[in-house]
Amino acid sequence: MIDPTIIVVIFYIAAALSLLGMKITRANDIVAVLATGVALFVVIFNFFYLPLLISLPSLLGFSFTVNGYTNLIALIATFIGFLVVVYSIKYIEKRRGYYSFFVLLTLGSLVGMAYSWNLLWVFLFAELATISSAPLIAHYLKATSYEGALKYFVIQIFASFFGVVGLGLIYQEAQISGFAGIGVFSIDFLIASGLLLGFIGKLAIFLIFLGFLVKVPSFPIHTWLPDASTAAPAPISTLLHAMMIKVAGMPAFLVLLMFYSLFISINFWLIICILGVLTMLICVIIAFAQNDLKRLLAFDSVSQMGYVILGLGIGGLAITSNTLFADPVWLVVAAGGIAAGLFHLLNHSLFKSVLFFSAGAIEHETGTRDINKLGGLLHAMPRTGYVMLIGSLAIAGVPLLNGFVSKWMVYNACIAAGQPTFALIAIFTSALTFGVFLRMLCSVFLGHAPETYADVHSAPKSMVAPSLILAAGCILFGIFPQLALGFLIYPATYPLLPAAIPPPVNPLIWVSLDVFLLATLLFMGLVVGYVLYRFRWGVQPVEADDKTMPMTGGALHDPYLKVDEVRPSSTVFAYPFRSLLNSVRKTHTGLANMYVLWFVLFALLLLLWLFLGWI
Amino acid sequence: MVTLVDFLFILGLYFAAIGLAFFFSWVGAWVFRKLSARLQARRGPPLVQPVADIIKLFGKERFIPCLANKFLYILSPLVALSAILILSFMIPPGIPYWPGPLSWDLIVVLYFSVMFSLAFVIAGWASGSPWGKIGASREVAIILSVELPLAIAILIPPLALARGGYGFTLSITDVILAQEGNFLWTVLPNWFIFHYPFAALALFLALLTKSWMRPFGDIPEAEQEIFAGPLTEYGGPLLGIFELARLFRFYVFTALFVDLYLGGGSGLIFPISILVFLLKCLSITIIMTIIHVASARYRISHVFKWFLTVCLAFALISLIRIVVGF
Amino acid sequence: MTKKKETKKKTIPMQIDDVVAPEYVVPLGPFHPALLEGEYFKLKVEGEKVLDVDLKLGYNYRGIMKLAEDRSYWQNLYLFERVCGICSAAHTTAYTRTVEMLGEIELPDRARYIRTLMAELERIHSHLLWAGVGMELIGFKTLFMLIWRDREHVLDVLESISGNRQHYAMNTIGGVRRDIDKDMIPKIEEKLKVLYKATVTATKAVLEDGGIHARTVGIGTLDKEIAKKICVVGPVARSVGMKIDVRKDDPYDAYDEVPFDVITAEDGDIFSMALVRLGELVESVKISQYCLDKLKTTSGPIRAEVTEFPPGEAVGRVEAPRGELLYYLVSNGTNTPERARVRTPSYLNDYALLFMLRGQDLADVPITVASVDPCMACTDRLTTITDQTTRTQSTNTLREVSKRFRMK
Repeated sequence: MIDPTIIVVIFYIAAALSLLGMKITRANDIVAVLATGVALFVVIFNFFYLPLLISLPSLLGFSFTVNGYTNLIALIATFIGFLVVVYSIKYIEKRRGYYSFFVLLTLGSLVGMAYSWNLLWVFLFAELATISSAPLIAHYLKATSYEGALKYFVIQIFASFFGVVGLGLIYQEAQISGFAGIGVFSIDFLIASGLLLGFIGKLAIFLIFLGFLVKVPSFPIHTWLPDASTAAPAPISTLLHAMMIKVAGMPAFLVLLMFYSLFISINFWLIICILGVLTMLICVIIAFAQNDLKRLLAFDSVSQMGYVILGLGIGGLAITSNTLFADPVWLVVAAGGIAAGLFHLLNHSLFKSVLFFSAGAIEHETGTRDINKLGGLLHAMPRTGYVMLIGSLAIAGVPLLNGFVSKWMVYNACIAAGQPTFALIAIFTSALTFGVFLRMLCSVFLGHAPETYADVHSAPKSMVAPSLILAAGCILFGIFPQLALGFLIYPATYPLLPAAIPPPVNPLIWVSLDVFLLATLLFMGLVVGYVLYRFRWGVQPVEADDKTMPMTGGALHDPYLKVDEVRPSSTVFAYPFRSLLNSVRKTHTGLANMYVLWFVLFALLLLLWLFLGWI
Repeated sequence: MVTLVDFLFILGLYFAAIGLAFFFSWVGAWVFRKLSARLQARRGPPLVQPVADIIKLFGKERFIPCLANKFLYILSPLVALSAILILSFMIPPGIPYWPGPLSWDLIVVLYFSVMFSLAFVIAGWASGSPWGKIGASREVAIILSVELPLAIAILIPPLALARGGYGFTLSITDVILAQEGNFLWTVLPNWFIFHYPFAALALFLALLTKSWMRPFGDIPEAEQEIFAGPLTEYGGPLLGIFELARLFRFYVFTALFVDLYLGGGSGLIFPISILVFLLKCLSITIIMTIIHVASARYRISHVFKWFLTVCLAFALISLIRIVVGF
Repeated sequence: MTKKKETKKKTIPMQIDDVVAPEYVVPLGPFHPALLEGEYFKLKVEGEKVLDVDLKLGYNYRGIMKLAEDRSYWQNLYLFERVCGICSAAHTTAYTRTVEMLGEIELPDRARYIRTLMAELERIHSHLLWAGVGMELIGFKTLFMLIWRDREHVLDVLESISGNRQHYAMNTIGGVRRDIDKDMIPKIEEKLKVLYKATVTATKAVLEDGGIHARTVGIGTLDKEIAKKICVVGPVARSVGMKIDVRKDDPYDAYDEVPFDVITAEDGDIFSMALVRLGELVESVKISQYCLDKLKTTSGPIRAEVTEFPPGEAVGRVEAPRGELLYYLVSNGTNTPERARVRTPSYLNDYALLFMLRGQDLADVPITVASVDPCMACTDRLTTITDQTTRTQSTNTLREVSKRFRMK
């Protein structure tokens, strides 16, 4: 067991070093890669000590805990962080000195946040991460990037106000009992002492929940994410989407699940589930019409986080039902729901970073992100193309890829918890996601390339390799989900479930889905098809080579119609949602003031609900 | 875990299921073609025709168009075939004890039906023809509009079982088993079509559309508008594989309907149950054929309107009945 | 006083993109399942909505008008019959009518009835063909098959009269070439009854079927003003409420004595075009029956004597199934015409398509194109090529054209 304090310290020292050696780009890269690599090694190493579940009295009083859950979150943070740093080497060539500094600072804070088992430390690390990532969003120093960073910053700070109030309330409660110091905020202490059982405690936890919900982000307060990620350079967008929203957002559900005894109410958890369903459905519809590649991915990210919210919400619902009805079936459902949410969280960080890395590679090579202008890139950038194909199909939930398994688990959890409506909406959302990504794939990679992009070539290896690794992960977890579930997800569900609940030891209890057999039979079908295709051995396929022939109307010289004119756009897919979209579009004005207002209204609504005692 | 013996057994059953599905789809395709010909005052083809057409295609030259992406162009028909073969294994032929549903539930069936359509979408775009692309986007539109009613209608029988005290299940086996016996003073068989007629109607419409039958199904391949849609640039063995995959629709989609809503071959001893099941499938094929023959092709905008209002309403009526519980 | 308020557009940067599809071009043709002949529509499309249409013709150019100047009046009979396969009777009727006006030839009674009968039978076959094709284009294959099965009856009648299913070669200058026997008439009447029944069934199907309504009502609407401006003729003109019909306005053959109605509709969409044509089918069956009744009683020669073609010019017009067909001939006193000009109805109606197609769904393009019953072979004319840089005009000579197309 290695103390995670070391990771945080390494990150901060590396950040300081890169600040010192600001001018030497190569040294910066080496330091950053080394630091993240060591951190990743430490986290993986810690997985072998998991059953010990140690809370460490840290040197600096960080109060870190190494358990399945914190280690999973830290693994996501360090793994994606490592790849982001590798990707940045070529992507941001003309870098400013502070780039490495802020990346390492953010990563260090996020790892610290992942391991913290103390609400105050979680909050402080979250603030540090917010502050240090805002300059990264504004990296390009353009008007739009300033705007994105500002929007991000304003909304985050506004949200953390709720967190401060929540923490203050906890402190006040604690002083009544005669305690002082940081240790008051330790989750274990708060549960054991029973400090928060009153209404004030409930309010405090709820406020902290609201403060972190912005970072998830959930439906009415999702607006900062697309702007920030569109403005930021691609590795920073990846950092935001693949880990930041998870590491910084998960405390929202961590507090809810840890203090589930405060929210013994079916209604409350139903509201969380409805929040998840709304998030996934509305944002996927918005994603449908986006022509900006990154913005499309960003809205889809929010939609995917809806699955996570839904899975965890179902978990909470099941725990509450267990407390109310004392039926052991609910325990299995609870474990399943939470596992589904966490697995989707992990999967989303895999495929969304594939997609953002690839989107960055495309922007790097072609200079545009407009999917209507792009086309036929599969010829020019085959590796990026196939990797993005895998990522898109995984996010759309095509069987044999990881997205399918986690979505399947979410549906099963919903139906098992007696909420089939949520499952059906989730299935519909999955179909819409499928449409969104088919649209994106078709218009960016398939078809024929417009003349402007005729000389596009493949992206550098350091930009393709990270997405290749991640895509391999998508396939691995898709065919052998037991690997991820057994080693990563189920250990992570233990700490989130109340101690009274015995966690299912064998991951196969929940996954009755035999993906390996499915893969074998599917492969067998492919073989049968290929044999049929090559039935006449030895005859090579004929390939036409004259590209001027199609659609000319027979006139080879001076054709009536050129091939380049005939480029059907995939926006057709979005047409049915046009009227719905236009009404949603009017609300997304792009003004930070409006978005803060939304947040305030949303928070007030929920607080009103809380005060009226409905939840 | 699956042992090696189990695995070989399952493999054997897989090929047996494919064989059964193939021969039945052959008959179904012939009935479809013969019946529609007779209804259109034509003579119609002989029994060998549906398969002879496909065999002919395998003898032809392999051709890859200049604008196509070679890998996806070849891969997508194979994926279509593979997906439909797995579907024909997953959906039991009327008998409850079948290995497919033990490993995979109805959600997997739903996803594979989407994967089957996905192959056509990718084929359309990978072939590089504008007609293929337009056809593919129509296919996507159909997938999106059909998906919600289809999902609701497929999941209604297991949900009804869960509501009725069977516990949480998503397996076709349980659905088939639950439909044995009679109800309503033993007048009607205990089939879900009598319990949830509206959901059955929604499923029927969705499957009709999924199996390229008019009024909605053949919009992506409307030959008078966009040639063959996604398959415009296909020819030779690859088109043969697509056609082979499409042949299986006469078994897969009808079998799904019969298993979920018409009781499969339930309550009967083994060989008779499969025969009864096949007869039910055939009658569904005949009804589909009559609807196909007696209707004009609608526009793609009509599909959205129909499936996301009327058909969805049908499905929702049943869903609300289950959720509210009466 | 009305002052236009200038609405200020909001300059707030919207966060979500609007659903705008970039325009692209869809080629429809030169060979396409929806088109029966070679023609090329360049459809500028947004999503699946047609924004603009460009039409390229010239795939079927045969130089018939030039060829007519090299042939005698008798030889031209066979040439003009082949302008169009479907309305061959109409073309020869128009041609012979023009020649008869030149030579001031009076038709015998029996020839007039036979010509009218042939023209109406041809109209029945043409309209049934149109209805079948239209049904096929909206995907109603069954009705297509059934309508074409019924069309076989009228083709049988035509074959029994003339020996041919198309290109009847019935008309000749000054009369007709074949007589209709007395014992053939009851058989034709029997077939006409079947046809009447089939027509009624088809009309009923079109009027009642929801699918056909969804695909035709309000689709491909032609504005009446535009229709007047581009001078559409025939069923297309009648479907926008213009009551024009050469059979009534300038009667020829036996039409001055036959009682019949000119069917019109108001909306100008495909549905009303279908209604006009189906209504005309019923009228045609009635006219044929009237002619058969008259043929039972009249007797006499079937052709008049023709001796010479005096110098002069003449314009003759008839109502072909597609609309007003116009022939213009100049005679110089020899046995070959100095100049022949054919103005087919499709020549006018095809350009209505450019207006009808705008704003349509891509799925409705085939049926909209078919709705005017276009005949491309009639429409193709001599090509004049203008060089944009030098502003010089060049014309393809017949020799060049024939060379170019024979090479292929």
